Amino acid sequence: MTPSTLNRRDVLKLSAFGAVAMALPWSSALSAKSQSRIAASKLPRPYTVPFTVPPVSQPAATNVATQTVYHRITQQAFVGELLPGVKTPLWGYNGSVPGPTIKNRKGWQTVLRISNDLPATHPTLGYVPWTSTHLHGSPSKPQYDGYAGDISQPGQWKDYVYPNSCPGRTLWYHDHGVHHTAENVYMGLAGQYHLADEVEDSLPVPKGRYDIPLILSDAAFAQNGSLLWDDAGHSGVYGDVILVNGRPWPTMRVEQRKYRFRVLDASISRGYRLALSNGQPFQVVATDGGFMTAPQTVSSLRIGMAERYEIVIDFAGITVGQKLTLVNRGVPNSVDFDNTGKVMQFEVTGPATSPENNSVPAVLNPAAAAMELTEDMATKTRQMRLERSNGMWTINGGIWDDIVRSDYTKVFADPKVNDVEIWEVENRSGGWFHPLHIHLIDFKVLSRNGAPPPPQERGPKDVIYTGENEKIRLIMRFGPEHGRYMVHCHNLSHEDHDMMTQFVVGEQDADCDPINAALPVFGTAPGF
Amino acid sequence: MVLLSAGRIAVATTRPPVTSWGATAAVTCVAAGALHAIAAVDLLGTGLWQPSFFLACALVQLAAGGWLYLARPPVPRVVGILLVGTVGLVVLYLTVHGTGLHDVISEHGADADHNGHTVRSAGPVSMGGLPGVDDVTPEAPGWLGTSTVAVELLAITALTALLPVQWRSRTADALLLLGTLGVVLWSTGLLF
Repeated sequence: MTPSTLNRRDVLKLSAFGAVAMALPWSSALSAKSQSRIAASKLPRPYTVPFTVPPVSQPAATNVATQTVYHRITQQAFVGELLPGVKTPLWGYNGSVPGPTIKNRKGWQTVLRISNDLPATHPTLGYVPWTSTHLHGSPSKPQYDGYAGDISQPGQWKDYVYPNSCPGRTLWYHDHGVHHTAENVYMGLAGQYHLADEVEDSLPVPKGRYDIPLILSDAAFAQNGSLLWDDAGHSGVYGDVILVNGRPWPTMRVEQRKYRFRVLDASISRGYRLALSNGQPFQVVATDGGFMTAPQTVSSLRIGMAERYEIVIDFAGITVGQKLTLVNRGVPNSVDFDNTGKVMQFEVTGPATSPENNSVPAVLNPAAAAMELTEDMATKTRQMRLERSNGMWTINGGIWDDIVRSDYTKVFADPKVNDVEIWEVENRSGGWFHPLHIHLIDFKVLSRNGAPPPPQERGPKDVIYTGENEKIRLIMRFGPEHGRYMVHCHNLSHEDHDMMTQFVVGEQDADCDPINAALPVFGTAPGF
Repeated sequence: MVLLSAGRIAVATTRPPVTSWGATAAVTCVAAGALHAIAAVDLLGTGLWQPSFFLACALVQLAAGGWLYLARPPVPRVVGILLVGTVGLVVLYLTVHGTGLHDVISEHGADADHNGHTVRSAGPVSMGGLPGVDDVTPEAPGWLGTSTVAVELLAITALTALLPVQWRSRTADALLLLGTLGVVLWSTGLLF
C-alpha cells in the first residue's frame, strides 16, 4: 500500500479549491458598501456610460383657438436597460424612464390624457398599481392635482388639465397614488415638465441644447437586473447606483461655455450635496418656483427629494480634454455606498460653437410673486411638527388615514383664496430629514433656525428641506385655485406611511372635489 | 502478523493503526455530520424537504466517519465515492448561495395586504417579477454553513490523501478545475 500523503503541488490545488468555496459565498456580503445583489461585473465603472436626456413628448394635438396642447401618456410595464447590457423590468410613461419631458408655455393649457396600462398587480410586491398623476409645481385644480385618493385603476384613463398659469419653471410629473407612490416612482413613473415664459425669453441664460435636464435618482439591482426594493421598515429606499436621466454615472461632453442644468432630485429618499470636483463655484438661477430675483453663487448645493434647482456651470475656463466630475458630498441620514459620492462627469471637448445665451445677468426675475411677501401680510401663523410616532410618520401627530377616516373633511389649515399665512415647520428628530412639499402654492423661506435662508433658497419654492432638529418659517399666499390640497414629506416612503395631511383653500364645492370632479374612465383612451 | 504458538504457525490479522489522514477524514466526516444534524434541527418547521435532506446528509456522514475509522486500510473505491459525495455537497452549497436558490427555498419575499394598502417585505425584494430563481436575492451564508463547508474541505483533503497515489494528482487537478470554474462563473456574474 502506498503511504497516505499529499505532495506540495496537490496541497496547493486543493487549497485553491478550498479558498474559492469559502470566499465566494461571502463575496457579496464582504463588499459591504453596496446594496445591489447583481454581479459587480455588470455594474459599469462610473463615468463610462454616455450621457443622455429623456425624449421630449410630442403633442398629440394642438388647439390654437383655445391655446391648448394635448399629450397622450401611457403608464406601462416594459423591459428597459438602465445598466448597459442588463435588462430591467420597469414602469414608465410611454415606455421611457424617466418619462418624456413635456414642454409648454405659460398661458397655454396642457391636457394630459393618461392611461394606466400597468398590470393588475405588482408582479412581486402584490399590490394593485393604482396611480394618480401629480404635476409637481403646478397650481392645478384639485381634481387634476394628483390627489392621493384620486386614483386610476389599471385599465382606466383620465384627462389631467394644467392651466400653466404660473411663472415659468421646471416642474415634474410623477405618480402620487395613495400608499404606493414610492414603489411606483422607483419603478420609473417620473419625468420633467418645462414651462417657459416671457421672463425666460428675456434672459440671456443658456437655452436650447445648452439647457439640460438632470434627473437624479438612485437604485439598487437584484441579481437578474431587476430593481431591488428595500424600504427598511418604511424608513427609506437607498440605492447604490446613482442614475442621471436614467443612466448610471454618465459622462457628458460639453463645450467651453455656460450650461444650464435643471437639477431634480427624483430619488425616493436620498438627498445630495452636489459640488464640482475641482471646487469651482457655480450659479443657482432658479428654484422650484422659477427664476430667482438674482443668481446665487455657491460651491455646493444641497438638494432634497423633489426639489428643483436650475444651475449654471461655466466650462469656459476648463482646458479642452479635461474632465471634471459632479460629486455628491452627501447629507446626514442618507445611506451612502461605495459610489454614491459620484454623480456624473463632464468632458470638455472644444470651444463653444454658439456664443448665444451665454451669460447670467445680475437680475433675473425681480417680480417673483412669492418673494414679495412680507411677514406683515400674514393673517395667521401655523405650526407643523414632523415626527415619527408609533412606527408611523406623522404631521402634528396625525396621518393620512386620519384624513381618510374623516371622509376627507379633516384639514390642517383653511385659508381663503389670497390669504397669506406663515407656516413654521419643525423637525425635532436628529435621525431624519423631511423635504416637505406644499401643493398648489409657492412659498418664500423666511428663516432657517432663526437665521436667513441660505443663498440657494432665496427664490420661490414648493419643497423645503427640513433638516434634523431644524425649524423653518415659510410664508405663502393661497390660490389661485380653491379646494383641498395635500402637504406631505417627499421622502416617498414617509409619504406612503403616512406623513401627509391636507389643507383647504376657500370653499369646497363639487366642481373642485379632488376625487369626484373628474373621474377616471375604464377602457381605451380615445384620440383627441 | 505471524505468531509461533505450540509449534504451529498461526496467522492472525489485526488492524493496522489508523493513519493521521484516516483519522482526519473520520473526524471531519463525523463533525460535518453533526453540523448537518444541527442544521436539520434548525430547519424543523420549514417543511419536509429541507430537514430531511440535512438529516440524510448527517446520517451518511456520521456513518462514513465511523467506517473510515474502522476500515483500515479503507477501500479506495469507497473513499472515492465519499470524496465525490463531499465535493458534491460543497458544490451544492455554492450553487444554492450563489444563485439565489437559498432564498427561494427559504420563501422570503413580500406581500401586500388584501386591499393593497401597504407593502411589507422581510428584506430586499426584486421588483422585476421575471420568472425564475432570481425573483429573490441571495443572502450571506451563516456560521453553520460556513463551518460545515470548512470541515468538509478538510474531509476532502484527507480523503484525497487516502486515495491511491495514482488517483491523487488527478483528483487535485479536477478540484482545481472546479475552483477555476467557480471563479469564472463569479467573474461573469453567473454566480453571486
